[in-house]
Amino acid sequence: MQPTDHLPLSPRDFLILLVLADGPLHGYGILAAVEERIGDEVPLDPANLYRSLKRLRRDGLVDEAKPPTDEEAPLEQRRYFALTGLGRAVAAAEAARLDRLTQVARLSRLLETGEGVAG
Amino acid sequence: MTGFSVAVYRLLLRLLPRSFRREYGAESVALFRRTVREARQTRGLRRAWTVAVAGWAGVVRGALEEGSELRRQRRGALSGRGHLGATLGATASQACKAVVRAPGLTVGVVALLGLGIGATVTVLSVVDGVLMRALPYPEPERLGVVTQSAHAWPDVLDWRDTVPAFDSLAAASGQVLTLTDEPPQAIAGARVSDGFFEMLGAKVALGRLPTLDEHRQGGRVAVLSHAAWERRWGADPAIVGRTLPVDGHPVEIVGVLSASFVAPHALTGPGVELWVPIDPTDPELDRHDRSFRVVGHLAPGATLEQATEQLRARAEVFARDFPGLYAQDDGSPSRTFPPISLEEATTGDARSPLLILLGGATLLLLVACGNAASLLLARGTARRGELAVRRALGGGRTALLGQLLTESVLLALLAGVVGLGLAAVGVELFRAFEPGELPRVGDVAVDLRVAAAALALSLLTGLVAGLAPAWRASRTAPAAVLRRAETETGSRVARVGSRGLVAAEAALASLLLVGSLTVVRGFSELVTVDPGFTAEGAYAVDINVGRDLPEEQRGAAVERIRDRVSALPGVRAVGAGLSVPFQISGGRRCCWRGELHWNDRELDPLWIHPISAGYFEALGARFRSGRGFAPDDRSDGVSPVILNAAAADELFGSTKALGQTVRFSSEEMRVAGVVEDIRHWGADQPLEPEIYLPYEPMGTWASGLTFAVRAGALPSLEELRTVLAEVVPRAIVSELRPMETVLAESLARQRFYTLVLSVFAGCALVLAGAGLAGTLLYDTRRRRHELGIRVALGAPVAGLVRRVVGRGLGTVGIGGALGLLVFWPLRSHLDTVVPGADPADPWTLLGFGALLLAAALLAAWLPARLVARTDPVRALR
Repeated sequence: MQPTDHLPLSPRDFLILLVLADGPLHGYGILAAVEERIGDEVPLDPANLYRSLKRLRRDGLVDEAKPPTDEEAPLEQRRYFALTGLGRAVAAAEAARLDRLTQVARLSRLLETGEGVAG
Repeated sequence: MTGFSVAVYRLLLRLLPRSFRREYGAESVALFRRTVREARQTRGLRRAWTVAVAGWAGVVRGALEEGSELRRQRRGALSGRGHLGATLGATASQACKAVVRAPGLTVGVVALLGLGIGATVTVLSVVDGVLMRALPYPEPERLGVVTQSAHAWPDVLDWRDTVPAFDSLAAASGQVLTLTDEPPQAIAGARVSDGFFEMLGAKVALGRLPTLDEHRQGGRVAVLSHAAWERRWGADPAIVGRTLPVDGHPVEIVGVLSASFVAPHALTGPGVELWVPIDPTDPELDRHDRSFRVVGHLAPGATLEQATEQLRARAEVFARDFPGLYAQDDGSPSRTFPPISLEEATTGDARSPLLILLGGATLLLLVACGNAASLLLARGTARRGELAVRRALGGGRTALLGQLLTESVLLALLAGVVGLGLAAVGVELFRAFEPGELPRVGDVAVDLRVAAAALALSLLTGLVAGLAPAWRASRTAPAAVLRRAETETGSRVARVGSRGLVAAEAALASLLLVGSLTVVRGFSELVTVDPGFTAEGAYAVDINVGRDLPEEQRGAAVERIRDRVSALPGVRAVGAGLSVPFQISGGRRCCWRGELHWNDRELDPLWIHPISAGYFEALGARFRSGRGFAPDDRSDGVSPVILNAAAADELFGSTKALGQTVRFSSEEMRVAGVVEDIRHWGADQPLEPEIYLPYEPMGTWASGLTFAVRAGALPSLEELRTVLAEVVPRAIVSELRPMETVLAESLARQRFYTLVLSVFAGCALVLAGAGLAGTLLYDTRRRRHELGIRVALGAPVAGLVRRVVGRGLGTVGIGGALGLLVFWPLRSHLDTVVPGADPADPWTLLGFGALLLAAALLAAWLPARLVARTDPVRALR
């Protein structure tokens, strides 16, 4: 299966992959990272977070990782999730796809461009 | 909050597939809890709720997504083990079909439950509006009312300095004022102190509130209520700055209160139209004039208990400094001024009767539930075939149970809609018939809050009414039904079950019935209580002889009015008092407290009524001995006094009262007559010792009087005004009412509650009777075959009829006994609806038994007729 077969990703899945790109996180860590990066723009609630994780695992984009320490953590921090190689490739492919779309949007003057940023 | 939101979350998670819950359920809950808690700690409660609701919504969205995925995967095939989200839609649509397929049953159940829900929601709206909503004032929980009736203005000034638990104190006194326009009109007024409007957060729609200076100097200014401004002045914006004649004095309107300001019922009574500052320079505002209700705002950190202590301490001081006014004989304070919360002061009297009405409505709803359950049970039996087939084809019991419950909940939701409609009408009716004594009844409405409660009530009702039928139907053994060989025991269990349901209905209805009969009986006694006068042919006319008339001239003015009215054709007697009996309410003063001495005996306290000659004759009061006042009574220099029977008995015992010399505030007086007790305060109030003094020499402070007139027919208010303008030009004639109306209105509250409870009880009795009839009829129909055989074998029809009727009577009898048993410990609460209502009264119990018997016989009549007409040939065919 090619990474592009998984495209397009839902915004929720894409975000999860993005925050996991920096390293393994537990459920709460993912929520916190998403909120820190983009605020409340894409609503992410516990149930749908785990539903996404379950599906991403099934599709092989995410896998469970070993917690960094063995000590007894709160329930929502016991399971860590990490990107698989495929997951990383899919996230990159989605980013590239979105980038292409953004270029199109710029050309149609839908997006303001900062001087020196647009080529 | 966290615990609750997590519980809801956990419940909602069941909408998601079991596989998900097994793997991530616990973690989802833990994460949800943590996010909610964090939001609460770092960003406040509002944000925490937002997060919680978003979390709930996420689960629902997820469930919907799963559902549509599932449907895509296996279109059509629906497994009984599917998760709730996906089955729900299918169950609901099947339930809809079932409901539509049986329109008769649907209409029946919806009407029954709708009636019950409508009644309950109506009363619930009233309870919500009157009792549950916070008072519409800032920090209502910190407002307290100083109780034990009204207080004198100097008391208020004292407490402002000596009761630090209140950081501000305000006073108010409702009273009827007169707009001395052409023609003069009575207007509901209130005098208020400085700080009153501020404490209650009053805002103006126009103009301004009275300034502190105007309050201190007793400025002749006033503000209007929004309602009065609209009703009397057509919302004329030019009203501000205009001068109105109030009680003969010019008063400048400085503002109009905003529409949202509600007059505090406990302080001024409802519907105040004109607000004027208390005039603190008025010399009459001494410690004798106890006419102010006092409200205080608790200082930060202070409690009502501290205020109680501080007020009690002042009561000790008052008792020492002014023993004549504030102390009992032993020197202890006669009043201790305990404060209660404004809320309690506002709703205190209304609470009990309203809760009893709510109880009555709930009983009615339960009876309706019982009826609906009977119908559903019968329907379940009729559908046994269908259900058995579905079970035989692999339908799970749980799924079947769910399906049946969904049906009953669906019916209840429909009933809820009907009930809400009924409640909207019901609330209007309630407000129309309510005699205007309930506080805040203007706020009552069927709103979102009530609608939400109605929804919850409907769901609950659906479950309650549907549980037993669904349970029984889902237990159907498919093989037995399909072989048409259900055992006799099975149907006996069903029969006993449905009869139990009827007995329960009868018990509930009995509870309501005996309660309402008790109240009806108590009320009928109130109506027949001897008021001490003859209302028929007597009229009450409110006449203000002129506030600007010097006190010493008021007596003469009263006499001139008496003479002029006496001269009218058909008038037989005229007399004046501060009030007529049964009329005492609001700001009206009838009398005051005092004491009377005879030799070494003392009568204290008693009520003192100043009246003119002709008062008793006009009212048609009866004399035990002596006579009423005459204009020339004081010719020998000794003032006459008239005692009521209670006062005479208490002071003189067996000694003859007439002609005795008594002492009243150091003046010798002669008992000129003893009049039979008049119930001044209302039919439900106890009799108290009272004395009557001549109005004229009292130089009394009140100019607003009520004249009692006994006449064949009285001229109109207009005519009265015209003729009185000749003799007392400044007199204001504001109202004319037959005493019979006054009497009826005084019982309006009791009549209203009695009526509502009786309507509930009547409905419950009819429903329970219908339930019994339905059950017996159904029973008889099912046993037609058996009955046919019996008749064919020679069983006497009369015996069979007797059995049916006996069964009905037995069921109702058990229910009635149960109802009485439950009622007995609750009976004393009815005292708040109609005082003195006594269920142990033999007539009440007899009536209860008779009504129950009649209902049972009526219910058994149809089935008995069916039995009597059993034709063995047709039954066995």
